[in-house]
Amino acid sequence: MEMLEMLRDQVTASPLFGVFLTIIGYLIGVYINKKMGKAIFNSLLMSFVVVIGTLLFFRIPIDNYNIGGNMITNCLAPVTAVLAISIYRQRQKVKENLIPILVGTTAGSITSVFSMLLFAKLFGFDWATTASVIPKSVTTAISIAIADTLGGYAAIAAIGCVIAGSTGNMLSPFLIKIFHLTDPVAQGLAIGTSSHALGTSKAIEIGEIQGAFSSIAITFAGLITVIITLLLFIA
Amino acid sequence: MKAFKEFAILLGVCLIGEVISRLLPFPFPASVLSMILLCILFFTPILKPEKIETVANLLLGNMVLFFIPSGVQIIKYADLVRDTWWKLLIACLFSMLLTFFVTGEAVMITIRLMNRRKKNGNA
Repeated sequence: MEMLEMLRDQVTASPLFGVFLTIIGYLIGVYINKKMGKAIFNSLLMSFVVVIGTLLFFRIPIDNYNIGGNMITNCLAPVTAVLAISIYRQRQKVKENLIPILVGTTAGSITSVFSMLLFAKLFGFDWATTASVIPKSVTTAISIAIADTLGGYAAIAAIGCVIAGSTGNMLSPFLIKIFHLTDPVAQGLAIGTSSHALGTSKAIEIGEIQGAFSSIAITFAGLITVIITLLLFIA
Repeated sequence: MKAFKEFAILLGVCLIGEVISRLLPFPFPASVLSMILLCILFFTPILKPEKIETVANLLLGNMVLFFIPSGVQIIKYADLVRDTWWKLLIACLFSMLLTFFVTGEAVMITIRLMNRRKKNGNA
């Protein structure tokens, strides 16, 4: 037993361990998602379960995991930057529908930020928790960056994104019906603004136009939410 | 070779974004600044998206991987989450519903107004 513990400490002390476990967790997460095909089994949530489960089961200190984990987190900047390519690819659609896109994503982002503030007040969240969930409707990459700037926890920000994303993914076909959103552009923008990439995967299933506008909404809502939070809390 | 060349270009843009972010008098996420910078560059002859396409597709297709270490830190906040998980769930769910509704309605109204204006213009 002592031998095993020593072996564990040796293995997990390597920076490669965190990178290795993250990639394995990701691969298993994607596999489970493909097999189950339901939003609640989304690859992000499943990856969390695999990695956290492994750390807890083998009693691996989070600091050991973080040596490698931080290397991956440091790559978030280029991952966020390449979102630019999705705007560029959709530039024709953006140009043709610029006003509805701007009006919709701005109105939605303002609603998202203020309703989160309201709920935070109602539930008595402290500032760090509030700051973490304010950007919950935008893509996780930008959400973590906003939470960071406002003094929140990246981890809670990621969890907020998983909640908004998976519930949006599951409920959006139903919401389109009860809110009578007959226009496919309105459907796509509503899904992308409220539940980012996780919602967009459902929008793509609903239709091609819905999918395109949902992915356009991700970057616009992300950018607008950065500006709103900047004006509200920093200026 | 090609992939590394692309990655170098992408990292170069991100480094410029980071420097600009530090020079700004207010805190603005460097990653979002790099995204804006990259988007502007795409519309100029300096950098065409094809120049970084391989790496961009790899990163965009596997974005989730990069969020895992951040989310795993939730272990550190076990106490906070134990007490507030249901509040977080309700808050995020209802805020998502409101955001969905307002976005959808705002777009529907805007499109309707624009169509009416177009019709009036033609008449």
